[in-house]
Order: sequence, then C-alpha cells, then structure tokens
Amino acid sequence: MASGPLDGIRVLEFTQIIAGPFGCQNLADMGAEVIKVEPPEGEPWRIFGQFMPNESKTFQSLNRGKKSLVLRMGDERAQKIVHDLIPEIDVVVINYRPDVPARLGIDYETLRAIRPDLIYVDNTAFGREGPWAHRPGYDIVVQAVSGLMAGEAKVADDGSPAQITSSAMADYGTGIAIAWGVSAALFHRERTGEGQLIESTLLATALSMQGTQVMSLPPVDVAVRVPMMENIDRMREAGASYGELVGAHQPWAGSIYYRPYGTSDGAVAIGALSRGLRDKVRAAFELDIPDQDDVDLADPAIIAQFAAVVPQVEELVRSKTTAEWMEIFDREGVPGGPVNFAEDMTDDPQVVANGLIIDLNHELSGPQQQVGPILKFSATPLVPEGASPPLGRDTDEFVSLAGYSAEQIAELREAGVIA
Amino acid sequence: MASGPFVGIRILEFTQIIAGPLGCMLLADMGAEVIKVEPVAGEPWRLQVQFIPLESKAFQSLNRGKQSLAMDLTQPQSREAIHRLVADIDVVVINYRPDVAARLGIDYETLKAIKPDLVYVDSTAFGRRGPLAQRPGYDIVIQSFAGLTAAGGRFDENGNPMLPGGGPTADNQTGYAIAWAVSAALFHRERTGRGQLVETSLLANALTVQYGTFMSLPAADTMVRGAMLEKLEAAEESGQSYRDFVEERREMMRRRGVGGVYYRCFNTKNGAIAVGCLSASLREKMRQALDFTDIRDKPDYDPLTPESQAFQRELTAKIEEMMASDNSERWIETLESAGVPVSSIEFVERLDQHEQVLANDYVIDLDHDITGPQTQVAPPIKMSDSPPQAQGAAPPLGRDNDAILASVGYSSDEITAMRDAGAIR
Repeated sequence: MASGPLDGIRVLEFTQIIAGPFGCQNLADMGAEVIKVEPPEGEPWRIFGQFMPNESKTFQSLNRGKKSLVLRMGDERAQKIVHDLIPEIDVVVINYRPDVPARLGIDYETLRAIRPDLIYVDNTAFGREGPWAHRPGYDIVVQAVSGLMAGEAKVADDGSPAQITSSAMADYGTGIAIAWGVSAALFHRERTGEGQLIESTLLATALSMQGTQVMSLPPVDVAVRVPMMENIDRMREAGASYGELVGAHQPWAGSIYYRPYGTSDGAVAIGALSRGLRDKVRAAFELDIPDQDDVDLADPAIIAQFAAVVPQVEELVRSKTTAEWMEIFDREGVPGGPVNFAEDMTDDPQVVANGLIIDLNHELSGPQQQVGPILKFSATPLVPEGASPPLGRDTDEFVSLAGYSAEQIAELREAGVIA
Repeated sequence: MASGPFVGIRILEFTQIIAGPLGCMLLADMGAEVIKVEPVAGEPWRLQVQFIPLESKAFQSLNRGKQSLAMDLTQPQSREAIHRLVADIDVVVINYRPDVAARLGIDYETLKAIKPDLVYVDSTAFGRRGPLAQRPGYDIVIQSFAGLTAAGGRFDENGNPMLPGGGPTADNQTGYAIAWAVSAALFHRERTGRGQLVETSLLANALTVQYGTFMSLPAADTMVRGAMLEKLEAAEESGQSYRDFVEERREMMRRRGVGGVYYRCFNTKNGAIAVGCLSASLREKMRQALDFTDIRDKPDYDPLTPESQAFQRELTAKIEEMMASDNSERWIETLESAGVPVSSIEFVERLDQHEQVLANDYVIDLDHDITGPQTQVAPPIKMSDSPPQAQGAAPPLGRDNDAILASVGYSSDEITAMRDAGAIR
C-alpha cells in the first residue's frame, strides 16, 4: 500500500540508463504507480554489466518499485496499447531523442488528444532546439560539454583529461528535476484542471549546477573571469594542450568507449554504453576488434588485446582536431562532444537557442546573465522575477505586513533588531 | 508578474550558503514569493569574496527573485514578528542545525500551532538523528563522509586527497530535492488540506547520487564489492596509505582548494580527513583548536601579495605536516570538540553499516523477485504525513505485462496473441 503524496497517480515511463529511471523512481518512492515500458530485450541498463540475464546492479538500483511493461514500440499494435492505456495515465516521462516520440506515436500532441489533462515530461540531452538538439548525449558528454569536466580539471599522467568519477551528477540532478517538475505540475493540475508539457535536459541541469561559474557579472568578472578566459583564448590559439588549458582555468586542473580523449587541439569525450553505439565507435576509429559482448572478458588474450588498443586509440585521437573528430562522430552516430569550460557556455548557440541564459539587472551592480530555470512548462512558464535583493531591501514591507507601524519599524531598526 | 505553478505561494526562507538558497531559488523561479530571512550582518555567502559591501557573485547566483528580510532572530521582537508573519506563509524552509530552530522559536511545532497547514522543510547536514546529528556539515564534509571524495580519488601535487570536481554535488542535489519536496507537499496539501514536516539532509542526497555503489546486492557483489571491501580491510591492516588504496581502486585526480588550510582534505598519519570552514568564526575555531595564527582574517589582508602567498605556503606546509604527525581519530576529536566541520574520508560501500546512516533509516531492505534480498539507500526525503517509501525492488523484465494489459481490457487470448506476435514479451 503506497503512502506517499503521489498515491493514486499513475506514471508511464519511456526512459533508460540513469536520469529518467531515477526521476521515475523518485516518483515511485512518493507513492506513484510507475509502469516502465521496455523493449523486448530490456532497456540497455539491464544489459550493461548484467550478472544474470537481464539483471544488472545498476538497473536494479534505479528502478525499484516499478512495473515493467515490455512493448516493441516499432509495432503499431504496441502503439495502440499505449493509446489504450493513456486514459488511465496521469503522467508520461520520456527521454528519447526529439524526433523519436512522434515516430512511435507517443509524442505529446498525440497523447494529449487522448487525455487532455496529461502531464508529459520530455527529457532530452541538449534540448529540443538548437544545433545539438538531435545529438545523442550521455552524462559524460554533457559533463564535457557543460564545463563540469574542465571545471574538475582532472588530467591523466599523459596529459589527457579524465572523467569525473564521483557521481554522474548531470544525470542524477536531472532525475530529481523530473520528480520536482512532475510534482509541481500535479499541483497545478489540481488547482486548474490543466495538464502540460514539461521539458528538462541534462545540459540545463549541468549548467544549473555551475550557476555561479556560468553567470556573467561584469563588475566581478573584469578582475578574474575576463582576463582568465582571454588568457585561455590566447593559449588555445598558440596550441596549448588540454592540461595546460585547465591549468590556466581556475587554475587547477578505461575503456575506449566511455571516456575523454586529448585531440591535436583540445579534447573530446565520447559516451557509448550500448552494443549499437560501441559498433559505431569502432567504425569511427576503424578498429578491427570484437565487441565485448562477443568474447570472454576473462580470457587473458582478450584482456591483452583490449589493453593494447587503448594507447593506439589515444594516439589516433590525438592525431586529429576536435572539429575533425566531431565531424566523424556525427557521421557515425557516436555520442561525443568537445570539452568546454562553463564560461564558454554563456553565449553558446545551443545554450542560447534553448533559452537557458537569462538577462537580469541587479539594483546595485547592474546587468548580469545567469542560467535560466532548468525546466520549461508550457502552461505556466518559469520566469525569474529579478536578480537577488540588496540586503534588507524588503524588511520594511514585511515587518509592516506583520502589522508594525512605521514608528515601530524605526525603533526596531534603531535597536538593531532589523536592518 | 510571476508566472510559475506556484504563483500565490509564499515561502519564508531561513537558509544560507548553497543548498537551501538554491532550493528556494528554484521555487522562486516557479512563481513563489520567497522571503529570505537573513541575519542583520547578511548571510555568510554574501560575505564570501564580496566585490562590493554585502554582495558576492556566489550569493547573487543563488538568490535571484527573492525578497530579503534582515533580522536578528535572537531578539524576542523578531520572534514575534516572524510568528505574526507565519500566519500568511505557506512554506518554511530552514537549514539550521537540529537544536537551533527551537531555540529561536521557529521550529515546526511552534509554527504549526500558528499555521496548522504549514509545509515546513527542515534540511540538515547529517539528519536529525544519530551521533553526528549536531555536527556541522558543509558540502565538502558530506562529500567526504558519504564516499564521494574517495570515489573521486583526486590528489594534489603533494599527495593530498581532493574534493571531486564538477561542483558541490551534495549541496546541489539537496537544493533540487528541497524544490521537489515542497512541490509534492503542496500537491498533497491541495488534495487534503494538510501541511506537514519534510526532512532532507546533505547526507541523504550525497548517498542518493551513488545508488549503484551504495547499494548492496549479494547476488552480484561477490565479484566486485565484496572483493573491494576485503582489499580495503587488508590494506588497512597492512598500513597501506589511503592514497595507495584509492589508486588501487583505480580512480585518481587533482585539485586545488579554495579555502587555504580551512576547506580541504589532509593526509593524516593513518588516513585522511576533510575540514570545511567557510566563515571567519569557524576559521578562528580551527586556529584555536590547532594553535596556529594566520593573517587571513586580518582587516588589511590581501591574498595576492607575495608576502601573503609566502605566508600561506608556509602555513599550508606546517598544517599538512601537523596533520601527518597524528592519526585521524585524534584530529577529528580535536577539531570536532572545537566546533570545526570535519569528517574522515569514507568509502560508500561501508556506509550501510554506519550507525549514523542506520539511525536515520537511510538503508532500506528490499527483496527482488529473482535475485533476493538487497539493501538500498532510502528516499532522500522524509515526510511526516505522507512518507515516501520504496514500494519494492526492481521488477523482472515484463513481470507485469499481463496484469497491466488485463487492466485495460485485454483478454488472455489477445495477450497471448500479442506475445506470439512479438509485440510484448
């Protein structure tokens, strides 16, 4: 018997790996009935590191308390099932790439026609708009792209960037944001009867977690951020290595499928977590080695073969520019991205296209830019109400609201009680 | 004109630094009117690297769209004003240590008597119960305590462990969790008319972002986790250094601290600790506890002069040497009794046995249909009236196909036909 605040709410989940599953698990923890729709072979995270068929620790840690509904969504009948289910569903959470839902007949417009007050969470890697909208993105890529990785500035002994190992924070943060978005939308529906579309992205979350760094604030930045980034630009032009760049930024600073690499002019990260994507990585690198699914990973010969490939690939990646690799990755469908600094993101076209940067004006220090809200609501858009207040700006108003006269307020201020 | 789902909701915020301010900012972004109650001198984050008096970039990035009410809460008139205000407040968010709210007359019971349907979010560092409940905790302490620092495995040039990069993960996650919690509690209030107490902690959130490693799952753990724990024990018995072990654990890094000797990790004689002092008063406590002097908090201190830098280098070397001269237990006891935020650096795989974790019910037992018993980290939010709760382990693939299809009118023949056709498993 469920006991949380979302008892009686039914969620249909079309997500995989971490962010979406974690978000829906949060909802399940709150008492919602979560129906997870999976392909017949199971979602990729079931298969990644499975210790018995279709069961992995990672999957089990992110999907507790759910129901599993296996549908081959490419089949029209499966789509019909979903349509038949929708009248019973309060919330849909989906994390496919932007063009996929419509192809499967499970986009917001189609489902809303069936259930007008549906709440629909569309979680993507980079947002539905902009040049990166259709790129695949996993946590590691978003870490690289959003500045998180360069912010950590971890550099391997050979000077190559290393990934953040403490947590997949873009994924986890997004998972909480999904739960938060659904909860707020349910509140709104309760008051107005209206459902809505909610959008969240890994990129928005990753930026939100670096709000202070992404923020531009001219009176401060003139002393630190501006000269630092000018210096980095100069170093880039002069051909500085990634290690040197992250050294100048702040200044501080596996396998072949899911990691960052140094390139001839910087660094790229790739994140391939499924068989299909690993095939694409091997194609991109023109590697003639078997996939890990097809071999005995305990076989010493295989271990030696795989180990020998790593330095080869590192050398290969170092032989081309980041732009050249991005072209190759795009062509082959490999999830990848350059390693950026958060400060670079303020005027990045992808960021701007998704409305992730907002302009604010502080009463004392003037104009500034910040990361916008990490969720988009179609019926109740989130609009920050202004910059932060100077200390005590509104003291009088609220002490007054509490029933104090101007004299009393003055006395309290005189006595040092308020300011 | 506000436009989010929480237009008309009024929040009274008693929080500082990152987690609480971020959580309330997210709610402000959703249209809530957030009244931030600050000490008369400003909250600490205003004072952290001010670029003009009482304004810092860090503060501004975490408090947009709010109103500021600067008030000395230790004075009775202030308490009275807050009590009058609370009648018009929907939500209170607070991040003081567990005993402080009652002392200030702003604890849940007191305020609920004024506003019965109040939603009250109490965010602490280590949880309200357990031996560490009263210990001050900042992001770096919690990250180190909760296993994130060890998982990050970063060291500086001198072999010191360092905070994992990418941001203050425990703080950030807690900020999101606060926003989520308020949203869900308001939904509940809308349906039932009832407010409630909501609790969350940095610890709960730091554990939550490590689901897979925190989780124990006997059927799978013999390969990795069990072997790792055995190695850890052997390493400790043989006196292997923290660093050597972490490197053996295959994760390594590097970072430079922002707080000099006050906010960073240190090697000790038998391990490593993290300290997190972000205010002048905490730095003073640390100086007294360790008996050293510093130019850092002197009025004319300029960190960029060669003299200052030379002094800091010397001080850093001295404190590092001091820390390396004795065991973690000694330093933790010394610093903790002086009120300095401090933690040993733990491995997450062990925390499901830690009494602090157990005392706050952060470990739950589940039973998987196929793979049997397991423990996981509990939901990071506790609610007094509608407690979140894991409803079971993960389902085997397709376990519920039939029941779900039947619930929407499919006959067993139809279901079988679909299965035969490969449309379902």
